[in-house]
Amino acid sequence: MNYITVNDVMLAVFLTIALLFTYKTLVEKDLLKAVIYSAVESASYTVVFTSLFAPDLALAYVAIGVGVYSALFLLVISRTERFEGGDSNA
Amino acid sequence: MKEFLWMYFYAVLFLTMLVAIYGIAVKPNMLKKIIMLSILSDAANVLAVVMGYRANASSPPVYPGYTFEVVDYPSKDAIVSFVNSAVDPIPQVLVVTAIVIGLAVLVFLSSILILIYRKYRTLDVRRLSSLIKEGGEWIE
Amino acid sequence: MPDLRTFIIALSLITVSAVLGYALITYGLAPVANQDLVKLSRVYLGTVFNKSSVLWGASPEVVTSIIWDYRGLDTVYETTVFFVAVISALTLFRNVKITPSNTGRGVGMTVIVKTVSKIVFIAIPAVAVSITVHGHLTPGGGFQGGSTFSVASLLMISVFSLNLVVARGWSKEKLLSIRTLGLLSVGFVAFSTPLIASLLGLKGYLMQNLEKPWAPVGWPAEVSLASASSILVSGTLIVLNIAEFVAVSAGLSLIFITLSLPTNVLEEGGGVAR
Repeated sequence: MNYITVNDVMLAVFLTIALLFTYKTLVEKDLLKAVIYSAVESASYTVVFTSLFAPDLALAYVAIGVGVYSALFLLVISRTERFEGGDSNA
Repeated sequence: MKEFLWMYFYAVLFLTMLVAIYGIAVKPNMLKKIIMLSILSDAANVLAVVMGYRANASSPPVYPGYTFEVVDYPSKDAIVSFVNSAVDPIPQVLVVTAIVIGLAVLVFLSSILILIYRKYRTLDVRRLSSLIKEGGEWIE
Repeated sequence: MPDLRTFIIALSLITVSAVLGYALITYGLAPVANQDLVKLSRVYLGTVFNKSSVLWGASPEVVTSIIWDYRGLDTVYETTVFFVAVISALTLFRNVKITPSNTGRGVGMTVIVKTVSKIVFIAIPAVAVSITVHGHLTPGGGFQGGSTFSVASLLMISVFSLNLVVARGWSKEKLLSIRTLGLLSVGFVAFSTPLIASLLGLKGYLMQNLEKPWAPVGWPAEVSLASASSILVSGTLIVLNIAEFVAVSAGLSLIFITLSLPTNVLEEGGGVAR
């Protein structure tokens, strides 16, 4: 019985979104945007956790991934520099 | 058909982890490295839970419908049907612990970053290494 | 467009992960949403809420009972790891004085944001406490509730300004004492059963939840209040969840307060040699 359930579709969609935003975080020069992309990536992983029937993790992860991680990064950015500086390579 | 879907899941998760590792290794800015580190630990957590998933008619590892009011404990066959349908709880427990430890590491790293920037006025690893070689005097 | 080098790197990453995904499935290394769970997880699922079993955890929530009862010692170590991380982050800014005078101008955001967030500040702590207290009945628990609460303190710092938060009495000493109180109560609960058991000359285990035939001293699964019906408390789970909630929310709020100090104040601390 290998029909595709809604969970599998949600998993596929949001794992791809997470991969996309991981790539965007990688290439983004402005660290502020990079933090926002990583927050979107954490939010998509929260949806992945819920569709994997892991509500404990979804609860923990929505507070930590989107809230606390982004806050810590933004606090560090406000104390250091915002742009990635002139890095020459990729 | 389902095998291809699950192949895709594992491939996407490994790709996310590889991109994160590439980001940690290559990007010179230390804050970017830490952001990619948190993404790497998140992807690894998701991979662990994906492996604990159970196909059709699966349910979260919680007996539904119990509140503080002690009504009655589940009957024998309720327990058996729960065991046959619930998702694997062990990866979820380990991932909760992993999230806490990931947060602890991140809290400490972000404090260190602020102090590094205070002393050397840069987060770029290459400039930092040259500064440290020259004794890293204070830059007004 | 990316030059040849990044193209090659990207291509190699994609092929490696595709090959890994393919190999894992076809050679059966990774489960494809399998039906049969590992024996251990079947034991956990079967005995957690099964009153007739000896190893029962008296809580319908399998994950929380595994965290605090079956693998309670791991969680005690995990909590100490988080405790040490917060303390080491604070020692990096050790001689920073957090007083209302040196936490910047007390100008928060506009009045609209303030009034809206006043309503939110009632909602978020209520949700956080309910996540914690229902931790042993529905998904949730001490850590999830604590981190949800810390988002509220973060909001308070950004909306009402750090000056007002510190002036209202969120000092470093108070938060640290609340945090250690939470962790001490986790330690006390961990040692309570063996302590009482040894006083009575019986056997007791660290972080033991309910009484077992071979260790008769344990926490009660149900507590009967004045009202007729008894409530399902599942022993140490509710106490540990609340203690963990107190510890995590105080610890994270303290980190946010310390990190959001004005830059010049923050830079005196840490004793980094000038």
